[in-house]
Amino acid sequence: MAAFEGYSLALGAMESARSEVDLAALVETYSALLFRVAHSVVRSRTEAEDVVQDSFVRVLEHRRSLPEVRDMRVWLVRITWNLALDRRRRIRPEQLDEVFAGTLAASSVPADKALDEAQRISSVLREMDRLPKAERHVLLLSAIEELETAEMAEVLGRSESAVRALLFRARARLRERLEKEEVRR
Amino acid sequence: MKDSDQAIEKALAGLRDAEAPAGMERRILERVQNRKTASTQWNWLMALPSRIAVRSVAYAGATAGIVALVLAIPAIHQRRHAPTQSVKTMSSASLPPAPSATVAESAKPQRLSIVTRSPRRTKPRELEVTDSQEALAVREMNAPSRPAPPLPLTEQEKALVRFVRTRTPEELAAIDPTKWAAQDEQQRAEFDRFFRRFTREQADKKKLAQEAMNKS
Repeated sequence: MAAFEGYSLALGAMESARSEVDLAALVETYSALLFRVAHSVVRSRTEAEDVVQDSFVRVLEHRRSLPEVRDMRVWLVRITWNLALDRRRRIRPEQLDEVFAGTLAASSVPADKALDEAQRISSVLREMDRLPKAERHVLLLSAIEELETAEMAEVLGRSESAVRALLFRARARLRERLEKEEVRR
Repeated sequence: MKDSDQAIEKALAGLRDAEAPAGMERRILERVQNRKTASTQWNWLMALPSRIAVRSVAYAGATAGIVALVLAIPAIHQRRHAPTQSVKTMSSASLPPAPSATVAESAKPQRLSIVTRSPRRTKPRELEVTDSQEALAVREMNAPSRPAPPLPLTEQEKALVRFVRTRTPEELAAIDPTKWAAQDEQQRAEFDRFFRRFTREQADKKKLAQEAMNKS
């Protein structure tokens, strides 16, 4: 019995070592991409990191089904994307958007211009959030510029042509709204 | 339009160029590792019923052993705390014949009580005897019968033991006395042969020198 137990322990150790290696490789390969995916939604570095960690925990939980995954990259992006959307609902995005817009404003320009730029970027982010859900998602995923149209289509569960059309409409609608806002000012 | 396009591009570029915090990969791996450890423990608990099924025989054996031990402890306890003096009756006929002076006394039936040694006592209890002859017999009986402890090794023996334990088999074979004797004999023969030849050569040289001197 001791031998059986030792055998099972050895098997478990081998399995855990193999999964550890796989997970380490996955983290090394995809963590930066997943961070950008999460950050495009939550727009906070700490929140995005938490989302990426949660994503890999999910991977760990589904490690038995890893061999069945056709496209690991798309699968991971989809997990992260959904987790980021969930987190985005729980946090207060307005504050994070303001902080993020402040970091994007150029530091070399005078303070008043930097403030004006930060407000403009903040309004862009705000208008992006007001876009229809499908258009907003396509626009955010396209912002990462690492995913092809086919991959975005797979993540969002739409066809490639639908993604292209949604992206075109999202940009046009966003531009239109921003212009209206500027006119209002 | 140009301004709005620029603002859109800037916002999208900010999202695109976001860099992961330093050490994120390490933190992720640590968290995953912690989670894995926790899940392993949980899996172990979940797999407990099957393990129990596998181990049922062993558990049953262990339980039986424990029960047997529990039952045996009172018996052992009772045996230990029972009176350790078991009185044995020895008739005087089994002892050596008493001297004539004490024959009358010893003619009476005597009951000698011999105290058996308690297992926890280090020193044997003295026997309660009154007669000197019996005392002698008892003393002889109680005399230590164990063999004397071995004497400590001498320095030479210790050196030999050390040599045997540390040297190679070739070196051990070299300490064979017959080999030593043969080697000594050989060295002595070589010594004699060399000096005999040397003395002979010296004598020859001296002889030649003498002859040369005589000629001159």
